[in-house]
Amino acid sequence: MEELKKSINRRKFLKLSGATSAVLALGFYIPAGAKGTEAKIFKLDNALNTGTNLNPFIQIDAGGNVTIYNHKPEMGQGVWQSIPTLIAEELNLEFEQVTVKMAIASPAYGSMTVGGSASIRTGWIPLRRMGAAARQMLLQAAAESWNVPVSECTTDKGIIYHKASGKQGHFGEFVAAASKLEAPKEPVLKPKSECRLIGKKVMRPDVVEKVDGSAVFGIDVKVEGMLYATVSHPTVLGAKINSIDDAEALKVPGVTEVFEITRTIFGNKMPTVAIVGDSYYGVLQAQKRLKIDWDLGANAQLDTTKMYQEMNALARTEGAVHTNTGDVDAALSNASSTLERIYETPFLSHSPMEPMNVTIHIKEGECEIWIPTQVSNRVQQEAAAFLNIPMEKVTVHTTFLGGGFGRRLFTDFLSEGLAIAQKINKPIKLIWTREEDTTAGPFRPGMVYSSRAAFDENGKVNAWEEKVIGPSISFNINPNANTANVDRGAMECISDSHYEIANFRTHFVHYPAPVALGWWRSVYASTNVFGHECFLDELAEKEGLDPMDFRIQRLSKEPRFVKVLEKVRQMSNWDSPLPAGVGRGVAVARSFGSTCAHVVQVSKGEKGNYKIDKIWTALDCGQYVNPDTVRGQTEGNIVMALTAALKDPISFKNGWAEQTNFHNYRMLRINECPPLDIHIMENEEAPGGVGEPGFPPLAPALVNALYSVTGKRIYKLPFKIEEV
Amino acid sequence: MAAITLKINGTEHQIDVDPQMPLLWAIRDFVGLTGTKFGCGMAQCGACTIHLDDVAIRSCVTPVMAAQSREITTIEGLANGELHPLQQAWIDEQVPQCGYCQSGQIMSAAALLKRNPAPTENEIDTAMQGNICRCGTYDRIRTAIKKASSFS
Repeated sequence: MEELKKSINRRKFLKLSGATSAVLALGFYIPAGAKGTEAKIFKLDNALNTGTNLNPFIQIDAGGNVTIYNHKPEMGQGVWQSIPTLIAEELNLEFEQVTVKMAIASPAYGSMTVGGSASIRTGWIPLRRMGAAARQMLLQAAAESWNVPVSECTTDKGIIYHKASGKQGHFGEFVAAASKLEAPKEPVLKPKSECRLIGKKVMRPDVVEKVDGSAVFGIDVKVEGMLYATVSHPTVLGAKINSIDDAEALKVPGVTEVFEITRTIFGNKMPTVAIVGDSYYGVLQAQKRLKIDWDLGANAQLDTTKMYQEMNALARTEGAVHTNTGDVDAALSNASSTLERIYETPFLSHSPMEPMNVTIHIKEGECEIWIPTQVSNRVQQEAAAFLNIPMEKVTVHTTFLGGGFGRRLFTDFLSEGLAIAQKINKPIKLIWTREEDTTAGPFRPGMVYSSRAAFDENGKVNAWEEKVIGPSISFNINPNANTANVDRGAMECISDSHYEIANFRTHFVHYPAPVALGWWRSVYASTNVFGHECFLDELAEKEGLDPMDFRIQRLSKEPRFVKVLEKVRQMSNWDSPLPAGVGRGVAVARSFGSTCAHVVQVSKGEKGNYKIDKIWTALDCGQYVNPDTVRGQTEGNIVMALTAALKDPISFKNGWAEQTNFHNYRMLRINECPPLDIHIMENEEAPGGVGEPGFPPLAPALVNALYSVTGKRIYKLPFKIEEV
Repeated sequence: MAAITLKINGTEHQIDVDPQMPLLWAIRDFVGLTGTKFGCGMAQCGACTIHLDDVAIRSCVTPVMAAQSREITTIEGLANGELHPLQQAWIDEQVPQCGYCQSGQIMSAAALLKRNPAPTENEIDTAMQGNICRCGTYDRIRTAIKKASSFS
């Protein structure tokens, strides 16, 4: 985050095009590194004169056509509409007047990464400023050409007006003159009251392509003369290949090669077998006939049951203290009573619907790549490094992503594709099977969480100790990490707990897992909040308070928390009595800059099974771009959280993941999706994240709801609701 | 290898493939229609759903030879001059997020409406159970089908 802030501060406006092309093109130039800023800008001007592609965000041609280059990969989170909207708003355009194109990867766009629910949070001001700069330059050019004060000129839907004289003209007429002006240093943003796109439901243009089959995902790319490839992986780190018997595989017509490559997944290297042929079907047949003798080494016995036993044992150790307020130990030793609980959450696979894939064409001294990725910049850097060619010789086309959820922050499949393309010396399309996607990681880390609280002589909680026990993603991907430290990322929603409890301490107890680990939608908030908010419910009960009242009391200094809780209280009719067999539960969390509360209602069905009747949600994400996208992301978070709570874990046995495809790694289906009622809070706060904050509080709200009607607490995810 | 004729969206295509090849790969890699998607390869997710003589099938487990001399409809052939009412409803409700599963969702829904133009919520749930959406657009899919059924 600090890095990001710095780079934004270093950004400078740069006018990228001159009058010759009669195009007004504006972009940020982000100097690489801290020094030589001016020289870098000068070089870019030179590049301009030589006609190099300068990667603008906005391009307005002499016909007045406005193209906005979206630099953020679209994975379902809505950036295809929300990012261009930030620019189009300041140009006072209707969204339909803008052509959206995906930006070819370039450092000139700054971070093209989509992750951490950050795109709108980081783009909110800089992208609007760029749009405002273009508007001011066009207005200035029109004013000068009409010889009227710029303050009297206005623009609406691509037309510039001078009302007093009745003069008007479209953007294109002023592009040549505008492109000769200096970009304003402090462009003025429109007040919220004048916004016509931001904060409004605008139809997403990519939806049309996604309902007629024409949207191009990575898997749909075809390059003349390309071969197809697939790969076989081990589950555990440290595995080796003793031998490959490809005799039967190579008998499949069209299958030409089987060879070992290395899969690079950050600091981890894993041996991988590549199979190449002239059709994907042939390659799949060959993969089934391959006999690979894996040596799983020290991790041949990896077993999740044993891992959780060991993590539970570690809950009794100190680990590394992270935050420490007051004197937890004194409160515990003087307590009138204490409460101690342990919770478990599973390893999970991301399982986006589009399997990992990449299409690569290595040519003489250059390379073209089509890839559904969350990290377009890193793809360009890593391909250049792998091929030992300059970065500008690597053209990266970011396609639509068939889901991301964090999986496509990893470039392991790129490393494989490059190795294959280099060896084959032909264009290749690598597509993983679902089985590889499910068994090879990176996985969400499986975690244990333990909590201990002390109650004073009045029966009020006065101390809380929380321990996060489990694998660190940061340590996993960086073999040189100091594992004695706290992984601060793993303490999300724990160390920054907002509950008012005088004595408070958090610990991280590291337990390494010898599999590739990864950031998975809402990351550690997805695991931590389960125990944190379930334990809170038990604290409320011990104090004799309603779980909603208890939360509001202990969050009284946090108005944004209180407001979302009050909202779901009202939406769910929380204070009305419930019939027998019906229960409600609540949970709340702030993650990725937004605060979300859910109330889940469950009831006993005719067959005696519990089912979810309804979910009410209040989300405070500050100011937002498109309320319908915010709602959609929250629906998605709820469904993904229900899957994570109620469906299958990834478990390991004898060094392999036991789940392989959607028959045993099941997803929530439409008949299991309850009605959803989502409210977005209206305020003037800075934008918060949207892609993840709906996830963390869902499972605890569900478990708390089941407790309210069954009297049974659930301490382990996932669980089968039909067995409750 | 065998010469196979596939009639897809009213057009005949000659291809030379292993007769056991799943229809999915024949349609995507040999005919070049990529709206039909690969998700699991074992009829578990529904991303590859197409119509064979108006019935929704999973093309990832249907051998190409089983489709000879039958009418195949893919997402590209669903619109008939104008968008199918389901496609319009999908746009109106802004159903897709990543969009990858949506061809299959729409094809399953279209087969449902063909045999049952006014399905109940339970009938929708039953017919659509075979299609996974990892983005979680189920609530909108239900709404869109109800909407399309009312004007079809």
